Amino acid sequence: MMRAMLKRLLLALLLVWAAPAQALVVGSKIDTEGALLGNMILVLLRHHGIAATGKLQLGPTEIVRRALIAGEIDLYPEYTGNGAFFFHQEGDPAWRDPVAGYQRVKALDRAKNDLVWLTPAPANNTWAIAVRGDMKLTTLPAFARYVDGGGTVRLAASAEFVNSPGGLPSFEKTYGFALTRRQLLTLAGGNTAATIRAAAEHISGVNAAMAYGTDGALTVLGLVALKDDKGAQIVYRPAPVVRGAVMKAHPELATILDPAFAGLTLQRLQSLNAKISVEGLDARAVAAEYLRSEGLLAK
Amino acid sequence: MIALDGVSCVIGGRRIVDRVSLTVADGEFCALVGPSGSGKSTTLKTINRLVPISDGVIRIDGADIVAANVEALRRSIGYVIQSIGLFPHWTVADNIATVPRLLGWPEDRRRHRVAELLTLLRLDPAAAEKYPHQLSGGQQQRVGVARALAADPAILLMDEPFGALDPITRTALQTELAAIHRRLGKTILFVTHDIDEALRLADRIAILDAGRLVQVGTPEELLANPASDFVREFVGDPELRRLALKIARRNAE
Amino acid sequence: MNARRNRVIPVLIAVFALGGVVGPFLNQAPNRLVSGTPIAIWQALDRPILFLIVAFAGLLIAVSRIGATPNLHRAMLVLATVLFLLLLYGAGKGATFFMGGAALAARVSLGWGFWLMVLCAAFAIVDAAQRMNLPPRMRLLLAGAFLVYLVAMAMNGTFDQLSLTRELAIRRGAFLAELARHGELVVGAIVPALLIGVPLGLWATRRPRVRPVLFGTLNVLQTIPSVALFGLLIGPLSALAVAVPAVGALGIHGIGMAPALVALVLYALLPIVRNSAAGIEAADPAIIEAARGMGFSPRQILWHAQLPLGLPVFLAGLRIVLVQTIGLAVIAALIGGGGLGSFIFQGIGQNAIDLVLLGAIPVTLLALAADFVLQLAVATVEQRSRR
Repeated sequence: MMRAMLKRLLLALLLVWAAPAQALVVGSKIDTEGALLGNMILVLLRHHGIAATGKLQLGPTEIVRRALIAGEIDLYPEYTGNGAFFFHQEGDPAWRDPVAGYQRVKALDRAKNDLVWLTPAPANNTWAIAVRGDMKLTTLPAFARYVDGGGTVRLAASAEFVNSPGGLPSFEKTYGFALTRRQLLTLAGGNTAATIRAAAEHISGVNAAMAYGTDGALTVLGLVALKDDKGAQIVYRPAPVVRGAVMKAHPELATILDPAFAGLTLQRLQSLNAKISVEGLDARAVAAEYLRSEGLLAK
Repeated sequence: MIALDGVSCVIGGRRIVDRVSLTVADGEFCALVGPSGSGKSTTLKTINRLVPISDGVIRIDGADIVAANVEALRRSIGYVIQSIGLFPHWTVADNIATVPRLLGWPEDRRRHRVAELLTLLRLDPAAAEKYPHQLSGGQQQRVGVARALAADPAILLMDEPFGALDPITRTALQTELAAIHRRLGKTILFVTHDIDEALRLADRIAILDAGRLVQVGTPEELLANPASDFVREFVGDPELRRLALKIARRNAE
Repeated sequence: MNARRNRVIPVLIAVFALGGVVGPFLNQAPNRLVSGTPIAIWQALDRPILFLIVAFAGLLIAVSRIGATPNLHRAMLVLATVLFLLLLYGAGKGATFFMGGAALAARVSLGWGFWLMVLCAAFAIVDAAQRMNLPPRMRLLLAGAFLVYLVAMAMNGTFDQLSLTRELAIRRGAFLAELARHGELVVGAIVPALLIGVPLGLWATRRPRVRPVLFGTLNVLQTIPSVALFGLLIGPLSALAVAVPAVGALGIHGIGMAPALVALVLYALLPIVRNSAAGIEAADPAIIEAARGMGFSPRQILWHAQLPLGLPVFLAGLRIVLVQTIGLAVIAALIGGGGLGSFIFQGIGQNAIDLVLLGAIPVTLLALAADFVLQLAVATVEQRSRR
């Protein structure tokens, strides 16, 4: 009696586990942009009649990537520039080019991990230095001249940004300026919301902040991200990464997701992020509204 | 009848009970007396097999106790200990009916028996629904004795049952135990270090010293003919004791 | 009766007053990110409510100074409870007022003055309740009534305009899902821990020689920092999932619920094993001896004496384990396990305190509820076993 019951239970459990395997699992990182992009993918897939469930806001990069490689999720939005770290090529200049970087990571992941990178968005979500609007600076060369010329500046940044050769030192080397210890306010974590708020509210004399290119808070709080024309930073363009097996089963994923990502310019992504992080709107609603405005949810 | 034949207990290399041979007749009240460490408690516990014996044989009514199922044996013997050991989460009635319940008596019979015993031990019938912590020490031990008698065993083993009680309660319970013995005619094996208690209650007294049985006899025999200096000292002044005995006997009638 | 001077209430009310006078009761900000402008309690509340709060606080001190009779304690309990509810009501109403006409992005959040005052009121409630020494059923009834009142206020929309509630409203689906997931994590950890730990505890009582090794190992496990243990499990479980595909098919991977559950079970083991053993050994040896002498078999002794008498000790341990696991399960979010911790970490990343609170407050309330329920269970069981 017991054995029969156990067999039945086991069968039921297996069915329960097997069934959702039909639906695609969409993952995302735990930050605001992850919520936006992940929801965007989810809404689009469902609109096109593909069964999809979400494991959004799963965790930091390492966790989500592991989940993809382990097959626990089927696709998620990643950044092209992270390829430099996945494949230990941080010093290679190819990653500082928007196209070369994408091609490199696409080739490497296909060869080594059977992962497919779809078309990335034009936006570059990389480390940036943002300054208060009233300083009337828009480019890094101008900023460099301002600093060298003795202008008052205090930059709020994380310890990692200040010390990592790919961070502030890279900017300083490329544009020829140097910030003294007194011109820096170093925070413990990589929390750009805190640094941006510090600059916006002029806390402790801070008038510049470490930020990410697509941070939503920038425009709302009156900060300007300085343009990095000389390519001091690795380029991080968001793109969907899909498991090879899933791609074979659903080749239409490319045509479905490409237009959505293509429409995400820097400004567009910033304003979408702002709606979520500053105005506090629901990420799925914001994603859906964006898709509708691009005509991607038309019948 | 309980017959111990050359019983020894070796525990941890030490001979706690040393070749004790003793017979207790049916209906007899036998006291095991001796100073602390004389092995009297251990001897008692060999009878309900709480302590295993290393040598010798114990027979109850001719049957070797080792042959019987140990739990069945214990359920047929009443056991009362100094620390009483009532179940604090059971009512007095449930405690008394412990062995009957183990034996599967129907509820009516159990209830009837509990009422009987409450009367016998002179406990207020209302105490049946109380919990042990609501009773005094003396009352708790009455319940302990009632519990031991509940399944109407032929034998009662008592290990210094009144030792933890105050003198007044102790005397009262001794008197009642003597009365119960006379009425019910149980075979009682009673361990105590108090010679007065033994003299008052027992038909026969067995004196132990360092695990060895030194003398067995009626109270009068012990008082008149102590077998050794040890016994003489242990029993104490015979005149005084005889007087106390006479008074006690007279009070009991 | 010697009226012991209640020193607790005056101190609490003093801190309470400090919070009200110095601290911002509410904070109003134009959006979710920027710091807000503080709103003092006299700006936030209507005159009548403010007056009531001051009056009740004063009454509370007065009553506490009079003496220590049961009736006075009852009065203190009522006063403190009303004070608590008035603060919540006032905050909700104040938020509604300040949000009227403001942009959709604006936020009115609870200030540290509010938190301080509410905490003092809560402690006053606990203090009065403890002095009353209520039986378990009474405590349950009162807690129930309190909850009903709170829920009624919530459903009436009193709290709707507070930033915390707005945050919840936006992600209600996700909140319920993570709440359920948190419950799954806790139950999924406690049940296996009980199934493994209780027999281990029993075994330890039968084989004394095993105890040092068993408890030593569990102690070492307990001292490993939780985040480290979670991280340490990722590697082996990933490798296992790769090596044995069946394991992966069952949903056990290096990340997600599996490592979280393994870690939570390991942490729950020590208290459960230790308290199982302690529970068995809690019975007075005299009882065990009497039971043996009467003819109980070892299993009967376990069932009739040791288990019932050991239950209070065991439940006390279960209480600790439950509270501990509810708190630890927060970390599961770090490795993709979900649960209320996701909101906490999202909030930290976005510098949105309300999001952090959205995770932290339910976890705290869950832990308090579990603690309360098990306290009741222990008290009820102890009443029956009369130790």
